[in-house]
Amino acid sequence: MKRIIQIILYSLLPGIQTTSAHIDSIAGQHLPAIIAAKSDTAKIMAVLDYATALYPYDKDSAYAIALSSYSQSKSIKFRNGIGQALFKLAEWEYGAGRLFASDSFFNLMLIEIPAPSHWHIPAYAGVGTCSFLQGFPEEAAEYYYAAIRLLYQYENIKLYRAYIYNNMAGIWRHLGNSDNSLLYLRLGKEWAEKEKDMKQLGNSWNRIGNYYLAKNDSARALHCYHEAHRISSTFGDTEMILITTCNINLIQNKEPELKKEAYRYVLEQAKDHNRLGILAPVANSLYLLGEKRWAEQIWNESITLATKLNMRVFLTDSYNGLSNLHAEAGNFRMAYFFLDKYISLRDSVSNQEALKTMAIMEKRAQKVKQEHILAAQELSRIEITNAISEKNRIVYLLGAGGASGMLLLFFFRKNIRRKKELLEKTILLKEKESVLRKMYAAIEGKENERKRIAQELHDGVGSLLSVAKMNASILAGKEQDLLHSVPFQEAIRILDNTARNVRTISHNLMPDILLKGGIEEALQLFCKYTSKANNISIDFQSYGNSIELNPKLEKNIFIMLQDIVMQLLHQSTHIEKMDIQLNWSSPSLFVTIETNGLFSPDNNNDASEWHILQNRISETGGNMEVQHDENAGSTIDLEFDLNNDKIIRV
Amino acid sequence: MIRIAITDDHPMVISGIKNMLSQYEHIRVTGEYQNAAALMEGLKQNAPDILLLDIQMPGITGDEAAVSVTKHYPDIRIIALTGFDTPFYVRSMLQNGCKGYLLKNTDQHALITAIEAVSRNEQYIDPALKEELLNNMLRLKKQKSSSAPSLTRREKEVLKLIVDEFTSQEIADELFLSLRTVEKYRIQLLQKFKAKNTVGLVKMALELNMLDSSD
Repeated sequence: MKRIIQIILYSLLPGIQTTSAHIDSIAGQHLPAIIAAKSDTAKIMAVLDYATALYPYDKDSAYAIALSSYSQSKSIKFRNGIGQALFKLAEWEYGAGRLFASDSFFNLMLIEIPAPSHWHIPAYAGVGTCSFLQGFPEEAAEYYYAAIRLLYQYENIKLYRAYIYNNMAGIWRHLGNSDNSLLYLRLGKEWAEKEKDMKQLGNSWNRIGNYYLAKNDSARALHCYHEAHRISSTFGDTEMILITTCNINLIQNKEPELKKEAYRYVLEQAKDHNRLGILAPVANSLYLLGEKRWAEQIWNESITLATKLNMRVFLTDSYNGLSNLHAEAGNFRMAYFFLDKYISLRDSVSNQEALKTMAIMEKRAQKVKQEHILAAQELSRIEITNAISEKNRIVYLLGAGGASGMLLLFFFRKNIRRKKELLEKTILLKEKESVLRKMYAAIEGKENERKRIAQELHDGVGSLLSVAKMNASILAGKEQDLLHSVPFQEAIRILDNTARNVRTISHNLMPDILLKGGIEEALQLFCKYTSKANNISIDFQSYGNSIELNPKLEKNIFIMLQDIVMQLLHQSTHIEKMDIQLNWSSPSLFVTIETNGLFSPDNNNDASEWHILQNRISETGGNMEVQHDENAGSTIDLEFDLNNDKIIRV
Repeated sequence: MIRIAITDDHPMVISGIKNMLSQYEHIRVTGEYQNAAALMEGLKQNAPDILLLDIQMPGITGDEAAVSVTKHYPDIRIIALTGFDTPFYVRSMLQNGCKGYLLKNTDQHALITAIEAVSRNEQYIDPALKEELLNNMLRLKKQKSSSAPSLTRREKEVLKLIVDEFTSQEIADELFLSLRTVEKYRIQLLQKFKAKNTVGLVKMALELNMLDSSD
């Protein structure tokens, strides 16, 4: 049976050789899912699951399978397959301490998977981590902020938030801004709890402990380290267990020999490149215990390993430690040697320029955050809850310490006020939702009205004008003199113009062609009518493969584009030419509108049409950017996410 | 004798057409219907030679009715008589089996010319629309035969910077655009040049001489 499984598996995965019994058993477990896969994509995902299970036992084969899955996914343009395979390869390379290779795979994810894609989040985070470890915090922050900006777009997907926030905290700490670091650590902790990411929850607690230790609050630090240790022990995160063991050992009041024994145990357990994170703190603790030779030996090991793995970020603590050690021993030449290395490395990774750039990036990220109202509300809720729980804790401590009843009452009242504020905020939110619902209903009503008026104009007034023209034509047939009469010809011309205007108005209100011919035909016709009516040249082009849209979505986009063009026509100077281009790039639709005139919209008050239009586009999840060039004219760029259901609802 | 049936949801339009046709002895209106259901029922008793059919009608629309009439009565020749002056509807109605397409604001002479042409099994399209249809076809043909896509002003600027080896971030800084917008332009350019990557894009742009500043 085992032999049969092997034969089938080899036939499915040519070129992959597996041998041991354990590996055969893994193959046996995964083979049914691979065979049962009904599509190429399902098969690729099943094979990647197999590779993941295989990796701890047979790294080469797992690696080859993931590479093969990547090639297959690429050939059939299967984005999830490409993402999953490259992510696995990048993680494995990182796990093996090969930062350059890991960085390359993460970068490949960004290149191979077209934006927008949630796969860009782990890719940015991965490249950021590699940059940080190599000692480029500024570059790392740029990637992390790119990932954070994307996170706002994928609010409902579980996506490494805690990991990214914790690493952002690491960068801020590295650059010396512990307040920002704490802010991100709290975010990391909240998200780790929410997403049940136990590895990152342990990490958050440990790093918060580091923050309190740096502030000389050993009691709080110890509490945090114990929490981190408890979580990582339950979860089985060996690296974190060892780190927290070190940290607890450092603070706890016990015999030096017992402490040394603990460090010896930790050093024996720590393996591979993960050992790097442990070496410097252990050396530091041993140094404080008077074990200077031992500390020196570990710092040297840390420098050798960090240099080998190109993880410059781990060098600073060791250089600093060795410098202090030599200075104390009176060996000032060596002390100066290491101090020089420490200062030049620290200045290269952490300087005022880097802090300034980081501050700018932070500002940008905050701006993006503001734009995502839901994310901001969520964050605000977390902050308020934190503040309340913090106050509760203070109230409890005061009560336990025998503080006066009045004081206790005061804090209770304060707490109640907070809760009341929360309740009021919730009510306000619900009211806002209700206003929004009413607005949607009003828009829908307005659109129905547009449709009705359009139909009445086209079928009613339009048809009557046609009949008038027919009768005039009969009259001209009977009375030949009329044919040459100027007033009669003028009357016919006015009839024709009126009929054309009625058709234009009817079309602009709600084109029937939108339902039958789609948005491209409707826009083509809109451009034709608008061009004639305003005596300007309007060129319309569409690129890419258009997709069939939900009729409501199609109608919304059409009306918004129509409104933009009308705004451009009415609020631009010297406009003679306009280019409108659609670019279909599923799942997005990009629209560019360019004019040779300068657009200066009336945006001074909330009731201006342009302001309302901007709000509408923003509420539908669309994005609009307006640029002006005094010599060339104005350009409006729009992007609609066709998968976003907000755009259909509004 | 040419037998005509008229289908339009406005009795005044039917009456106007009848008035226009009444002076011609070789043409006789044999059926009048205000919707497609009445038309299908009437055709069972009395099939005309030519059917003047409105497009916009309540219930079954003219374009749907045209398909049904052509299928069940292949000898009836249909002329769409409508207010829609767009090539899309002309193409659509001709595809649905119509032989002619006239606008409702037509004059008596054009109506008779259309009926006579279609009765001889010739195609007749309102002259104003025929010209637009031809222009559309020529424009499409020109677009297909030309491998150089039409670029917007901003696309040209971005393309030039890509060729000069600027990264997306550098382009964003240079043109005061967001990184997202620059990425969007990259996608658009790849799509327009049908290129798989930036190298292909640059190659195509150079081959098509798209970087000429006068362009």
